[in-house]
Amino acid sequence: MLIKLLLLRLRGAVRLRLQELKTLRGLLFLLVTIAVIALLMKQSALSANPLASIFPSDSEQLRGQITQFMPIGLLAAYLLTVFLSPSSGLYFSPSEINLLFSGPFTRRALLLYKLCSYAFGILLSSLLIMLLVPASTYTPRATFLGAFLTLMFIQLLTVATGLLSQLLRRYFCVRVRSSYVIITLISLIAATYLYYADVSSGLIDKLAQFQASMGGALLLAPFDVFAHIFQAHLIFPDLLVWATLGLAINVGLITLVILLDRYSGEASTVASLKLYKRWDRARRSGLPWGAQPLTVRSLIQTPVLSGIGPVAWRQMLTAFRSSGKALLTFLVMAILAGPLLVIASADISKWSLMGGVFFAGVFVLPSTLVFDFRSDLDTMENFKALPLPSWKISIGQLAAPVVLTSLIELVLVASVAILLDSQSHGFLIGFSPFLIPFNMLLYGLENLFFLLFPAPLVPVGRADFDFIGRTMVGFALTATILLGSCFLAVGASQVAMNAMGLPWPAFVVVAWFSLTLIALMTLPLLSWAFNRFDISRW
Amino acid sequence: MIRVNNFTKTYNDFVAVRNLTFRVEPGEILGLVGPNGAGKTTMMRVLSGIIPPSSGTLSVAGHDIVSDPVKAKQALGFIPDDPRLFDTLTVWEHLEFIAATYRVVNYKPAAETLLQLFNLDGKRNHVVQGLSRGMRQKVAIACAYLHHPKVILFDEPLTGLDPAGIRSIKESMQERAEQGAAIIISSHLLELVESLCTHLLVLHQGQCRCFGRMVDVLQAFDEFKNDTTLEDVFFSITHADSPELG
Repeated sequence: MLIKLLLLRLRGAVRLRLQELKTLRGLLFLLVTIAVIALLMKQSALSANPLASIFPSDSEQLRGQITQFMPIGLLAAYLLTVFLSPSSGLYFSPSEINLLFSGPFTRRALLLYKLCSYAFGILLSSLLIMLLVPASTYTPRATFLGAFLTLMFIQLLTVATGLLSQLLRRYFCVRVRSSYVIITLISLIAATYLYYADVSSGLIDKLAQFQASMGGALLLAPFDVFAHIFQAHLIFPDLLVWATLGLAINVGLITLVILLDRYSGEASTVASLKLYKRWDRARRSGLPWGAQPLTVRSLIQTPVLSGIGPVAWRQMLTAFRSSGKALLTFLVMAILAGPLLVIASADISKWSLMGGVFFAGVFVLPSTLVFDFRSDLDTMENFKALPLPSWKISIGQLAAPVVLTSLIELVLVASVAILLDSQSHGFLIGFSPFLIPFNMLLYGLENLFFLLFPAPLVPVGRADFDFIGRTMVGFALTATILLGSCFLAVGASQVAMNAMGLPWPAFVVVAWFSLTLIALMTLPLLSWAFNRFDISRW
Repeated sequence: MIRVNNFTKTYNDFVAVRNLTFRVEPGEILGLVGPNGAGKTTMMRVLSGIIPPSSGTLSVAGHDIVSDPVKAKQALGFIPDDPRLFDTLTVWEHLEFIAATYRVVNYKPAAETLLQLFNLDGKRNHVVQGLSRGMRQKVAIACAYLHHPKVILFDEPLTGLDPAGIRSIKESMQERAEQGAAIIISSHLLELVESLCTHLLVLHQGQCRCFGRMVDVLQAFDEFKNDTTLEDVFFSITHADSPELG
């Protein structure tokens, strides 16, 4: 019966995708997605190693290194998944709770149904991974089987960890937060790492030392099995033996999940409902870390600033309350970037640092720090009813992400600056003020595209081609306009310098003003798009 | 206070509201009723400046909602049918936000009074996301009252409220009207509309089917049946065309 439900839901998902294709927009986004995947496949087929500049160019050597360090990578992936999972990782939607929990099904059947639905999704992801991994590095069958079993393993391990923490809360009346467990684990690993660290050796050597130690070998043993599945060349014995072992681990985990769930059934249901609420909010607002305490104390008074203040203040509060964990993670990563690069004995130039900031600024931070119009689809009605002109609302909405992103990037620049020579420090001092207009332009464009073509910020299912295509087109457009604007600002400054013979500090000032002017030009466009946004059509 | 002239709203080929004309003076409470899809919420949203009209003029406290939206909104309090509050803010922070946005000077005593009136004083530091539907409704109403609007629009105001909440909000509506506010209540609760409203507007398929003083409307239908209720009037109008009154 539940298998039938799974099949019906699968049919529904396919129907939804096909319906999307009936619109020009849906068709275009599907074509973009296919084109990008085809491009990546072609790249992986042509080149044995697309990252030859970073990793060894020899396939055999590369495979050896990946296999060696994959267990550590998988451990990190597991820790990150648990850290970012707001609850047990096993959750039922309200419709499933209402319809299935009251139906004639055993708890075990419900759990297996849920795990099967996860497996369906993972199957699709594994297919995509198989297409993108170069065939010369791993065989397609090993890649597919390895990806499927590994992703299932990470999922099941996360679920088991979540259920175990629920069980501890229930029976020992302690509130064990997954994040505390993870921080303790990371501290232990770091301590072990430091114990084995040899100051004279590089990061790769240190990781190898850790892996070779007794603690490292024990900790990484289950992860090691999955790394071997990818490496298998022959069906027998390599693939068969390692895949059977991986399957046995997963079956063991399923048994553990069923066992743990027996003791935490109700807590799991409550957690499911809470999680669904948050997921639903994330689907509408794009803020994935939505866990919030029941009561909070407000410390700072609302600033007025002719109406811009309350709007910006509200977004700042949202940032700290709904995504405090994400902000902290980015800030810690920015602070640690420099010291980690020192440990890894990396050689870095001011240009690669700028590239890193551009990458973080354009691709990573805007998709996570969504404290602007993009997270306010639900409450757009409130803003439309406010007695404020649209340009003031637009400035207020952009303030929080611009300030926070610039701050994180500034910390990153300061952290990495320790690696650079004193001459580059002067360059960085000149470069840093550009972060504010750059981010203003970036978030102005992101919000402009969003208001003109509103859509949810998280995908609906794994094969949401509309989402994938839209994201890719958005990235390409934003990056092109940003680069173009930077060149334009520098070009204008160069022309002014040549014409008037200005010194280099004046060159920086003219370039900064040019970029700020371009960024400010997005404001009237944003105001127009906000006025044009019709909430009744959304 | 509220002037609506030949207002029409269309979505592509669909006409949501057609040639609507009415006015609400200070102290009056207009009951807006009609079946689902009649165009009530569309009218409320256009009047509050959330969506633009396709044609016609709408003004709030003497300010046109299209040409002078900021001043019109400054005089307006709107409580939508499903109030979307800011998930991450507390009850008190919502009031603080409204006070700062509408420039309410010395808002704290008024905010305290509103919290007490709606039994929210124990929830002031609660994040609204964790509140019940009824509580969130009360927060939305408190926010709308805080800046003493001259015009208040209620879209299904009593949804999810407990009996005490219903009583306090009904009393507060009457109080605001007595203080000179022009109020529109859109609701399917015909008893509420009949007991509270001074005027009535029945919308059906986007068109005004009946507009006038409540007593006049009820009297007009008294010819067919004694002790006519608004429910009788509603079904008579929405099942057969009726002449416009007033």
